Amino acid sequence: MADTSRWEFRARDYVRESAEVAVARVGSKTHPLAGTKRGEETRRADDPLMSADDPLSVIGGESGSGSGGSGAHPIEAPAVPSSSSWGLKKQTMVREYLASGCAARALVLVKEIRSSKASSSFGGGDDGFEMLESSQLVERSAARLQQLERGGGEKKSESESESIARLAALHSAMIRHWANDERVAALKVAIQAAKTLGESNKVEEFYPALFAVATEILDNFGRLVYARIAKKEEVNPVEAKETCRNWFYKTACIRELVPRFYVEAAIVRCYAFLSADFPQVLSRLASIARGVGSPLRAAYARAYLALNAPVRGKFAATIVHDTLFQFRGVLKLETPLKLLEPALEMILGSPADVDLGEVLAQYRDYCNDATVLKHIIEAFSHEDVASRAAAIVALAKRAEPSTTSTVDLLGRLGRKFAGAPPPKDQRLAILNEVWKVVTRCNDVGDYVTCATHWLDCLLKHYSDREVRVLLGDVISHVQVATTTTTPNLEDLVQMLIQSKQMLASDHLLKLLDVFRPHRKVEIAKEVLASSSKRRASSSDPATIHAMLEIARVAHDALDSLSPPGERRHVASLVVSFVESVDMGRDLERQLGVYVECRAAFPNLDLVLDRLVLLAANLAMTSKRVATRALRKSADNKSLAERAQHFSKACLAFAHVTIPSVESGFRKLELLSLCGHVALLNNCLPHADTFFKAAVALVPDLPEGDDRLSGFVATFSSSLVLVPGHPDRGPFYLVQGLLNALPRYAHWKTRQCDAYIPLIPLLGAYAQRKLPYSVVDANDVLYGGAPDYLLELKTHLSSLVSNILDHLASLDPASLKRAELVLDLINNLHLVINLEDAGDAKDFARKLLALATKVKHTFPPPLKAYFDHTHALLHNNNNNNNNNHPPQLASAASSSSSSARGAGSSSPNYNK
Amino acid sequence: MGDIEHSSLEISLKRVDRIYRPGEMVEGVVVVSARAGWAHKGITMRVSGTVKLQLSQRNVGLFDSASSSIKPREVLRETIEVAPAGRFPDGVTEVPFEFRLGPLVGESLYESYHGVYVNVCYVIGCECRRGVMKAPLEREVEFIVEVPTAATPQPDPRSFSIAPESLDNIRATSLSSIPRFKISGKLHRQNCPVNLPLTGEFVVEESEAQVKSVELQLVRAETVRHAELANSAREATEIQNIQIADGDVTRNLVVPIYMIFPRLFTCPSMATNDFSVDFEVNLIVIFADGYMITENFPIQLHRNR
Repeated sequence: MADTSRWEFRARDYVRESAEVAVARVGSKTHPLAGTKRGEETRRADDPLMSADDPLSVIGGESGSGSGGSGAHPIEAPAVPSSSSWGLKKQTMVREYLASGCAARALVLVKEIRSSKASSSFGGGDDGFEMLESSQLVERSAARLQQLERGGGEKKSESESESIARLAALHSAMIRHWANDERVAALKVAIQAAKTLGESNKVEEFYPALFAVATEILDNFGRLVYARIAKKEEVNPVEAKETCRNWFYKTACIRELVPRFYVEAAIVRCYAFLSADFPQVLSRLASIARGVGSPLRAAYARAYLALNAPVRGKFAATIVHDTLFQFRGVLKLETPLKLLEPALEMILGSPADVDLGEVLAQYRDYCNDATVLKHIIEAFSHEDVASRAAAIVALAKRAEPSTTSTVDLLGRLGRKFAGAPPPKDQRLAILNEVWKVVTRCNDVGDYVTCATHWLDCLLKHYSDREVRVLLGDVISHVQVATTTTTPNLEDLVQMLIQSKQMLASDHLLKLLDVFRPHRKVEIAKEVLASSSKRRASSSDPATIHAMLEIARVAHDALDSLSPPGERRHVASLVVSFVESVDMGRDLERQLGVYVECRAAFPNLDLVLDRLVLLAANLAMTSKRVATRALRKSADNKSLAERAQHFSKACLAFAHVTIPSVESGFRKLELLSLCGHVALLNNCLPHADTFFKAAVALVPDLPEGDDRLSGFVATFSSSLVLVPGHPDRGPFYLVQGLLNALPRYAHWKTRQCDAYIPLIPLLGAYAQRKLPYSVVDANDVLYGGAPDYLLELKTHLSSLVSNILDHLASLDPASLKRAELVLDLINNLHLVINLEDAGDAKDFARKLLALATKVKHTFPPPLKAYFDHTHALLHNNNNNNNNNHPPQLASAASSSSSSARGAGSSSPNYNK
Repeated sequence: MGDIEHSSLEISLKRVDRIYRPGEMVEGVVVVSARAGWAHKGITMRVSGTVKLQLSQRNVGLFDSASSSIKPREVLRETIEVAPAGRFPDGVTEVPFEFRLGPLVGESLYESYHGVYVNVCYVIGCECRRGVMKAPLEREVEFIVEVPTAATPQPDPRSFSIAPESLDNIRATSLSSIPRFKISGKLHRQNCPVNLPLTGEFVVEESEAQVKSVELQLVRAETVRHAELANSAREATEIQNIQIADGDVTRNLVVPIYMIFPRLFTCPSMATNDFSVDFEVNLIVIFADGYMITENFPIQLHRNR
């Protein structure tokens, strides 16, 4: 046993020490997480996956350069489609209206193209429609092409795959001819392609897909022609004009109507070279389409014109009118309306030059079909629709339901009205009219969808009364149909929650009650999740209240049997809600919400935890606000005082909340954190309470002594800041800790690890100036008083003897013990003048001898640590210099257990 | 030495389209590509316009075959000395020329036209004599003459209405067995400028039978009169047939009639003592059951000034 009474504390210069042990810092030009693009690219070349053996990259290469097999020729890569939306649309059309599984075929095709490139070349690889045919289809298409070239007359009826294959062959043939300067042949092929759109023996279901594929060829053809004439024009405008005129003469004498129309529409842009009057040309083309008897085909022809028209104009009105006029024919032929819809959408596409009133009149006269009206409504702007609200509602009510039901239609109308409301004087009448119909709807799904759209509209443009009535209606509807699932109701609830005027929380909760309990919880969770995804902070009390209720639903569903994953999920949802609460400068209200939340979610540890953190943060925010105010004008004293009171409230909140947190160690951490906050806010009694509570908690902690020893190391850094208690002396917390530690029941091997960090703490207390402070602490209060130092030494002595006891209990041969011994020596060296008193020096040497015995078993890092420590002691012997800077042997050591201490680490305060 | 392999002669007209009207100046250059340079005895240019008529074998008796070809009529003859005798240096030399387009006395110019039995053709021929030892260089080039019609005629629109009753070749008794139909419409003009499309519209007001197709047939009739034989021959040829409606035409929807006159096969209607070229348009309605009705419209083509 060492006699520590003669030991002297070393005077330390923390600033210099930390500068000495600090790692040299060098500015960095690159961020480790920043993209390494250039590096990747260079690597890509070597990447075996990226080599030419990759089938996918081969396809890419091939489609760029044409097929090597059939006479390599440079193919003018067709430009990307002018409007990418059309490109997308085209793909969906092919996908949707082509019955057979294309994806599977595409895979076969990939293989086949690589093995046999004989059949045809694939030039325009941009839209990937070549992917549509399979291996045998490619072969078959080649055979068919020959047949065509021989003038192989009428085909009886083709399956869809045959048609597509034939078109693919035509496409490649067209590009091949063009590349070979056989323009007339290319034109002929384009005509062939257009012809498929006029053949009457095609299966109707397949027409939209056929249209998409055939127009692809025509588009490419049109681009090629345009590019060629444009090129000519640069050289010789007169000749270019002549060429252009020739193209149109050639087009004009195509015998059949449909190909003539499509080819001219494909090259219609070229009229620009003749400085033709586009509106006139387009009007003519539009009216020529009237000759197409089949309403379906006619509609698609018009759609193509609408797509290719370089300008909008009067023709837009013509095609809309004609389509509506021919609509009855669609019904008569029993063509599925679904087939017409894509065309309808394109025709109505951007009706900038069409008058809605006229269209509606035509619709009324010719169609009266819900689907058509739906597309009309969708095509026009909110304002247009709103300006004719009454008329449209009347039409919608009368419309014959087809693929679109009346309620669906009215729902869409509601969506439009949400964008722009009907005239003020009509609003109520319109709502009444609509709801008369909607309320009779028996399909809950449709009803709810419709109601959702209208709710949006009502929330934006109507008064609270209407919203309430509507919600009442929704609730009564949904309650009737509780047996069926109502998938759309969530949207409605979402909208209700998103809306600014979240008035009717009773309605909302009633709505939630409609769901079966399980579903209700699910919906509550979904609502929470989506609002957390939006990351919007909410400051509206009503919204917060509603969200709180919803979160409560999710919370209350948890019980002791809920799986931990479920708990975590709900907890994280609630946490994100709690975090989203942002009352701005109204901090008291914010705290109020936290109080409510604590009451609402007692079962969720994570939430309580987060509430404590948020309250602590709130206290700091209040301090910041006060500091800022004080800086502006010094006489804002009352404000500062209020801020401190509020901080106290926050701390009180934290204080009563922390005990509810389940995990003991977490409690410890929170207490310590709140203690810091209290110190920063100058609330010493609160800080004392928190730290005392933390110390008192130590004996009751669960298993995990490594966590505890880690905590003590950190905590000892905090204790530097805490001033002594006026009654219980300067060291009552240290004393308390020293008392508490032995009473912890689950010590295994880490007890010394908990004690050793306290040595630097005592060393720090002995300084005339503490390394850091926030309030006046022990250095100011007791500053070097002999009693104070004496007491300090007593504590050091008992601490060291504690440590020695434990060292003695360890196996003398264990590396662990040797390591602890080294830690102890180094820490003592930090705080004690080992040079002065022979006693201390001897003590240290004896300690070192303990380690030396097992030196031969040390692994290299520990060996290095030992050597450093050894050198340290002997250096000191040779050199009797008091001011010799203490060397931190541990800095060179890989075992870091002792490096934490009051001296070398300082808590990171948010000052 | 130059790069020219063979000496040659080219005629290049100033107008790319080579279309001229009576009274206009025809301008151009004779391009002489001379290999190694040589002396010549002058370049002569001959401009000629001829009307060639022919009688169809069908209209002429088998034994009259000798006279099936009528002597061509010359309407334009012009000889121009482009360059006097001299020498062309090695390389390309351009010699300009010009002449005013006008008919021979007592004749008039007709529009260039290549038909089956009637041909109106204008040619610029050019010859460069190079003495006895060398073959003369020759070149011939056709140019096109457009003759505007003296006065622009009135458009003369025409309405029509086709119904079973209006058909010519149906007996009154079988009228009731024909499915009802009524097609009405109009041509915007029967006097059409040849460079503008034929336009009009039609409406299928009713039709019990399904319509399969509506087509527009452009027919050209050439008539050749032979004074000696007191014989005239008329030959009608379909020169274009385009579909203007496909499938069962929507009832009561106004469908446009629109046809561009094909450039090579049409010209303004011509009527002379020897020959005439006329045009007519047939509107052909084909029903799904195979029946077909035709409405005939004679039209006059003219060329605007």
